[in-house]
Amino acid sequence: MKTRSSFLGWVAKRGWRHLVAIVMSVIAVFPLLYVLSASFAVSGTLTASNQIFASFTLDNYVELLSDPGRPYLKWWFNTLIISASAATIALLFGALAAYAFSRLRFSGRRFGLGALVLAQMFPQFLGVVAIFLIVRTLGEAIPMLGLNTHTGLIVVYLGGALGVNTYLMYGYFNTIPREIDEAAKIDGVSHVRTFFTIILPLAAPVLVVVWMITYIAVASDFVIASTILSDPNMQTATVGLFTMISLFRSDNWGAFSAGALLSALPVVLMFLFGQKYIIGGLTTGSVK
Amino acid sequence: MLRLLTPKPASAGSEFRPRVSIFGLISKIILIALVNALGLFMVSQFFLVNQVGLAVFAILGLVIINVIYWRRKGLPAKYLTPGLVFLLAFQVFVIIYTVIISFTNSGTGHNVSKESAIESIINNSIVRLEGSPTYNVRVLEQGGNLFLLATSPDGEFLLGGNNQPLESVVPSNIVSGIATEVDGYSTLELAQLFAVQEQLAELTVPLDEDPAKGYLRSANGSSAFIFVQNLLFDASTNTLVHSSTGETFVDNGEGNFVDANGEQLQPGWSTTVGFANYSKVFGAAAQFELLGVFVWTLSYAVASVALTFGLGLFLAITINGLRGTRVYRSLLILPYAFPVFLSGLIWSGLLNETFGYVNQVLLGGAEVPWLQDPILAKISVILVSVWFGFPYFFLVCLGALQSVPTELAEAARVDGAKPFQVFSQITLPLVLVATSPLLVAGFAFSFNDFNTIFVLTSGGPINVDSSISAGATDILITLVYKQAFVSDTVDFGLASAFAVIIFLVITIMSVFLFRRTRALEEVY
Amino acid sequence: MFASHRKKVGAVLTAIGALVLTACAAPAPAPETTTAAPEVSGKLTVWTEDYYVAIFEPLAQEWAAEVGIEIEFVTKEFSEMTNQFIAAVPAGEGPDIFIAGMNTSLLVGNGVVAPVELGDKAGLFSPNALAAGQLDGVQYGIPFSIENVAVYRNTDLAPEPAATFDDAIAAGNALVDAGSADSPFAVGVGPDGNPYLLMGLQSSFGSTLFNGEELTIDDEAGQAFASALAGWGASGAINPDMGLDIALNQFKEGRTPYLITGPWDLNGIKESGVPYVIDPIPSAGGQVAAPFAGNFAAYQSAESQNPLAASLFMTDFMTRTKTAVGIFEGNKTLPALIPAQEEVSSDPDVAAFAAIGASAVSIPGISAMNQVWGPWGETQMAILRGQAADPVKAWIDMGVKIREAIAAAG
Repeated sequence: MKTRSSFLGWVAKRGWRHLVAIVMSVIAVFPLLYVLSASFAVSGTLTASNQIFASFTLDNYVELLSDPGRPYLKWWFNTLIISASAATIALLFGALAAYAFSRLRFSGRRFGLGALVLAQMFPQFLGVVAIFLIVRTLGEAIPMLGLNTHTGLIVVYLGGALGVNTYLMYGYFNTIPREIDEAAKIDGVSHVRTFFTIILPLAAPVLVVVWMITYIAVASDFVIASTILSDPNMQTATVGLFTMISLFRSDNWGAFSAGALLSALPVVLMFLFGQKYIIGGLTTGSVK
Repeated sequence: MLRLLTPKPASAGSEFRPRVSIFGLISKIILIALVNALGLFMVSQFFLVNQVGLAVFAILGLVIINVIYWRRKGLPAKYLTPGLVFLLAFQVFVIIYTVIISFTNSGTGHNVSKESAIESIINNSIVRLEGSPTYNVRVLEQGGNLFLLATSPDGEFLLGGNNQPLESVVPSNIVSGIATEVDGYSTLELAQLFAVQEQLAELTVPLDEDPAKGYLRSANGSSAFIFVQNLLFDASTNTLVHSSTGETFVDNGEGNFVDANGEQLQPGWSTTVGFANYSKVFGAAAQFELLGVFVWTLSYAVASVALTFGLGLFLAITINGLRGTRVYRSLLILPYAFPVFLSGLIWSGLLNETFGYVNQVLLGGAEVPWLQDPILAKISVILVSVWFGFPYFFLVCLGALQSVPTELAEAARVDGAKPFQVFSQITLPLVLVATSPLLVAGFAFSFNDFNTIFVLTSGGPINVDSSISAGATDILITLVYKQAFVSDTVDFGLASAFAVIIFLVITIMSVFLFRRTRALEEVY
Repeated sequence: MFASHRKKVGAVLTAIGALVLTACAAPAPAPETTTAAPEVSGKLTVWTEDYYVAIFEPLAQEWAAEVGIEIEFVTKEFSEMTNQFIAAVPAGEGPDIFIAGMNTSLLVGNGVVAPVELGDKAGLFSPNALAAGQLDGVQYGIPFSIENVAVYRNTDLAPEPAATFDDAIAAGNALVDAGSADSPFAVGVGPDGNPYLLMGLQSSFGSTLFNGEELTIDDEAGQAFASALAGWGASGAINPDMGLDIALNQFKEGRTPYLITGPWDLNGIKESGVPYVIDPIPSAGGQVAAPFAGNFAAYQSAESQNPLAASLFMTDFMTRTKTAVGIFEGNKTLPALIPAQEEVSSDPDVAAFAAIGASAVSIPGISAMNQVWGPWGETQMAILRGQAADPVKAWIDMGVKIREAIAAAG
């Protein structure tokens, strides 16, 4: 009887949470099993069949990695480089701005904060004409920032990333007690050092979150990346993979699925190993 | 206790003068020097390619940056500038430029500048003289100019160049009846021709002093045909005139040349059309149906964000601290790691009425019209959008939760608060303060969530009675797409006008929501 | 289902791609630049879709080596590439050569392709295919393949060809009832409608799209097709949930006796091992079921920096029998070049497609056609799904919409 009641107690206290976690994990993962199944399937379709994992072959992966016309490995590394650079720089700029909004008082602060986010609400989908034009014009003067360059693409992302990132970090910075930087100021520490050596470490969880969000947004972007990168050797995985699935001639789904899986891998691994910073970040530097 | 978290007003005026560290000063000098070097390089490059306007902008920007960083005051600007530079260049300009396009007829058929349109029309009017023979030719060069050495079908040898009509010539070499060389000229081989191919494309040799007789042109450097140009541009009257019929085409002011019957010459060009696009938008808006679409767009955005956020927060809290939490978390962010295009395709497959996994396998052969019934389709797209989006808020809430001091919750618990009370009175408000701007941004995103709707249903199920082709799940932006991008024709002017108006609508709503957010922030 | 979604994905991209490049067309706030023209090399850039990159590249490389130029292929996404091309050319960012399904009126209307003079070589091409590459008598596109759809019949399930569409459905239903098939007839119409595949059935009612410039799609013959379509949707003869992927997969797994599709699925079906023959589309309305003839072509950019090399590609490479036969090896589709047609006519499948293609109707080469596809597919789908209470009225309404769209487009 005792074990039974303690089991019920466990269910009431923790078990239901496991249940929720398991159910949601299944819902999250299940549709993606189709992708996994298609990547190992002999037939070239994505989900025309409801039997998943009916066949197994590695041909799709071999095809994906060996076709010189589709330099998948290059795409994969391009994605990594572009997303990581854009996320890192955007994080730095966003954190600087957030620090100003959170710690400094100046006229137009409220308005500025709102305007940052508002500027980001423009339907980007309809704004690529202008983006293309800017990058092309820049490229005529400075080839490094032109079309078909990674740097050109990265600077475009930097423009679009400021608003929400700043706001997210601003909210978090506000919860770090001002007494901490006041104390530093009294000790004669410059504001720059306060920012880099005191505030940023304390804000580690939100920094990791913002970095990941930006990384994922950049890595999965199609609209801007396909606008700027037309040379197959320069493209990101998201752009490259879509050229593989053209209308009617549908034999590429297997390789496409394999490619999509491999592209998602860095994000998942990063999260698996990065989450301890999100969770553990503040426990040491917690509110004192 | 909550006081602790409220930002206090800055202790203005009582500026401590921090010790200036040598290291800091040196890094600052190096950084600004780098920016200046890069900036000056850009300025010089802009001048080199004649982008004077941009060069002036860049100089102005550099001056402002230097002022900001060298003067003692204006600390906020020092922190804001790096991000703002990019924001201005790539976000604000995009908006301004879209506004400009919204006043043009840019789109299919009005794709190029007037200059290129005229050039195209004229090039397309240069046709081979009907029934004219093929000439064997060689391309000769003399003093940087190109000439055609032609052997006529009758075996006559002729030489001519630009503005230099064909004349009989005595070749210095003939290979199987075809003249290949003339003294004083060098004959270009195919490999050499590639180097002058633009020049070759321009080479038109008049047959005779009378240009109406036609020109000899060779596209490939080995054979040539007689071409006549049917249309001539008269710049003084801004008209195109047919050389043989005398028919006149006039500029209709809307980016086309038209004849007396209104027949247009292709292509047209992009030109300013005033408020025409906006009146089209409001013409459509005048229809009552658009209100329905707007209401649905709003409902979709609100429901999608609320559910996405709710689920994300709930999961972040529920899974926190469980055994295996790392595995759960990693699985839960998976939907976010795949592009919506791909997972959207999978979901529309899963929800297929006859063949989908959900009906076939999970529901044992039921025929639930997930994406076919107007009501059910609305619910389905919302639920799938939640599947796409909950990991985002899960991540954000995970971060935001870390800012909730455990002491607060502990204290409340000691005071006898129930877990739910702790959540609703301490955790939730604090998380909301940190995330409410993201909710507003999320709302704006969902408002324009083209991908989810389009990949899942294309706005369907179709409503055949709709005069604006609005399906049951069409949101404003998918409707814009249908109006502005029909089949192979696109209308950027109209699309831009829609974009500007949608942007205004979202801005107004967001400002309103921000006001609420602010109120929220002031409460806690 | 997914295959046709690709069209959607593409549609999204269309917008994007298209949006993109017209940039320069609109009045640019930046002053015009006078950069020096890129160094003229003789290096040709070719844009085409994945499928044709694989087929063309080896042939073109061999040719380029012979002529002494370099050639580079750039893979573009199928449904975005036409609009990207239209947008890129005026921006000076386009390729020299563009290989795609024929859409001559659209390309000329946007001023992005250059005329090509074939001279005597014009006689080498099938006249209809060549005509599809012309506008007002001027040649722009050089055709290479002529494509039409037909019925693939599983000879195990249905040993005899069906005389009429009703016969086919009856035979198919008998198989479904016996448990040896899942669908009586497969055609990938979902989820957005597929007028291209259904044109054969529609034309068997005597329905046409245009008579000259006049829209005829909504005449009585068209309305009769609409009524029949409603019946097929209700009876399950044509399942609106069936997309291209599902249709093909069912046929390859032997779960349906008939499939309407084109030669592009030939290799896949051969590999599946299902015994098949290629039949004409059975008539549903009493007249000959004439599918569309689709033509594929190469176009030369109006702004090519390599006019000589591009011109050689068009008038030399594209007119060689060796090229046409090589393309055929890849796409198994009837070549437009007559000498190549003779060389490949021993292939029974090609012969069957070609025989059916003899009655095929060309897609009207007028710009008004661009306004037809959208409402046409949408209305077919609404009728198939039973969402249109009165199919004839829905069809007439469709005609009204198309006319309005044509008028609006000028």
